[in-house]
Amino acid sequence: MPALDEDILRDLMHRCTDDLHAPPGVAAGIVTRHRRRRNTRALSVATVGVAAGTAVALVASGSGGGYRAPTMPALKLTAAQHALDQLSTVAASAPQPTGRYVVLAEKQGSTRSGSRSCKPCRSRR
Amino acid sequence: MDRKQTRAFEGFVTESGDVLLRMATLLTSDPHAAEDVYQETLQRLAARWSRVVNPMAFCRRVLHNLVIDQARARQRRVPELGLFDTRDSGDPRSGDPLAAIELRPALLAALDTLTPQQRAIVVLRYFDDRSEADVADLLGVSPGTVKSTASRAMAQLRVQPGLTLFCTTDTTTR
Repeated sequence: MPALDEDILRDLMHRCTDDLHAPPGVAAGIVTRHRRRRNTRALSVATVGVAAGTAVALVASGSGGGYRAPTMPALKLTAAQHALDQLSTVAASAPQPTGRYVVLAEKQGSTRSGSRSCKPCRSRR
Repeated sequence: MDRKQTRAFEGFVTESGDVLLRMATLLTSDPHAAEDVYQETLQRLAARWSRVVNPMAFCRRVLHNLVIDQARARQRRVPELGLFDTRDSGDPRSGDPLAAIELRPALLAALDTLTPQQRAIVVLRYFDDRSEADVADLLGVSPGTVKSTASRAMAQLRVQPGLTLFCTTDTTTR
């Protein structure tokens, strides 16, 4: 009985695997998968780049001017509202009136002869 | 990978695919794992095709690395019970399928007794016919280590009863 030597092992290995063949078309499948993977990676890199660019642009624009109130759309006023708006603007810009109004206060002992407030009522009756 | 590179890659796979798959089978003992390793190797080759100078050497190295990685992962995993023996596969394209099917389980079982490093050295030295210097360069060890490891692996394989049986059969038929 011969001992296992290198030549016998070599022969056994080749005989043992002679019936194994690589599946046909595996190269085409791998190339297709490689292309798909590369395209997906390129797409994801582009998406991340765009997102990062947008974020950087937002941060840069926000840091220059401080807080900005959101702009409101222009209101359309009717003629009456316009007149009111003008009036209120004029009134707001006019100086605060002083001394034009009389402060009414109730006085004690209003039945005195000098009181004018009750006399007209009596004369009407 | 442009059209020219794709054609070159497909040519390489057509030319060397069988050898790579056989090496993967000898290194893993499992045809399914071998196909996985084979495809992963080709996938990595396709990703670096324009930069690889020697595709076959690249594939040998990647095959070895993948098999070592799998062996390490298997050591960490709880062993599974096999539902059926996956080692025998009757390939209709085979020249002599019966001989291969008889021999393969015995040889793969004998190779299973080796360490991944010993196994890689045996496969590269005796199946792929690489020189000791080539194997040493590929595995990143010294030529002396290759020589001693191959010698120890041969001694280990000599005591495997399955292989001894095939050696006996060979002498009687010669």
